[in-house]
Amino acid sequence: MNNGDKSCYKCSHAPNFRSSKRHPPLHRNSEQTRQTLVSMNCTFQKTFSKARPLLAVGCALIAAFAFAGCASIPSESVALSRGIGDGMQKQQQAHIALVNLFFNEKKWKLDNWIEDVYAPEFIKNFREALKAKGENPDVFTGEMMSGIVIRIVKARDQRQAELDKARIAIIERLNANYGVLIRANAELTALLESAVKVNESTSSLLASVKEGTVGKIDLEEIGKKFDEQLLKAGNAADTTIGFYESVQELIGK
Amino acid sequence: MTDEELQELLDEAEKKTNESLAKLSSLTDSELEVLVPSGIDQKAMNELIEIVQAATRSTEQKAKAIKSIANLTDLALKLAKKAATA
Repeated sequence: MNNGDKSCYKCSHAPNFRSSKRHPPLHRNSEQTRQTLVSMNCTFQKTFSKARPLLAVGCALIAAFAFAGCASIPSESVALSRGIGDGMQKQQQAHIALVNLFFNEKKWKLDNWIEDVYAPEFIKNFREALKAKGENPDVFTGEMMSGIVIRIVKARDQRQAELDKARIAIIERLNANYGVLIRANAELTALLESAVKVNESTSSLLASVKEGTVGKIDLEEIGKKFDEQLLKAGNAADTTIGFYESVQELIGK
Repeated sequence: MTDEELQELLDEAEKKTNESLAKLSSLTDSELEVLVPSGIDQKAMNELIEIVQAATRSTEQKAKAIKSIANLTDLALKLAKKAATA
């Protein structure tokens, strides 16, 4: 076992620094673990020893890899989410148009109702009031006709104003509901977009490491293997052992 | 008949007519439910939106951090290559 094999597995310190006072205190307590790894004659360590100038970069990348997480979010998810947002806006417009149509229909029905039901009922009641006053219920003067028409038009306008008020209240409520939904979707789109950015940055980072180490260290492949082990393994110990073997295979190729 | 008497008769006829027909033009509850479905808790939605906004800010920072690391890695790799060939 040469000196290179015995170098610290956590950093690039040379063996002669290992037991000296200059060695970082954080690593001094991990002597037993280090010994175990050294005795296993780990290929992983060998590779790192050969690529010592890149070790610091590798550590940073592993940290970044763990930082980024393993879940893969396709960039199409952003387009899909935007599509949902656009669809919601179109639905909102269609919904409002439908409400307006509904109220136009209501107004048309109201006009008919005033003509066919309200006006005859009003005239009948007016005749009864005339009769009760001792007047002739079959003779309407000009003033009477004018008074009746004014009252009927007023009744129609009041009801139409109520319908309009209801229509506006419903549209305001609809706009508020759609507003919240559209905003929520926009926030999710932004979240997906930033997650995709993280994925893209991580991929470019991993690709540059692969290129820089002439394909010897493929962190993306290591990450995939780790994901596979996580899915397969029943407990944490199995995961670690299986993952370690996979990494050995990968860097030994 | 005076104008005042006529107005009284018209008031009486209007009152009777409204009493018998008032409800015919109003919206029913089922119509309202179809037009504006209830059940969107705007307060809860806004709270969730704030949580997602915070997550987005954090993820954006994460993306920036990884990009910086990528740039540094690129630089370090170039320097290492130069050092190896020198």
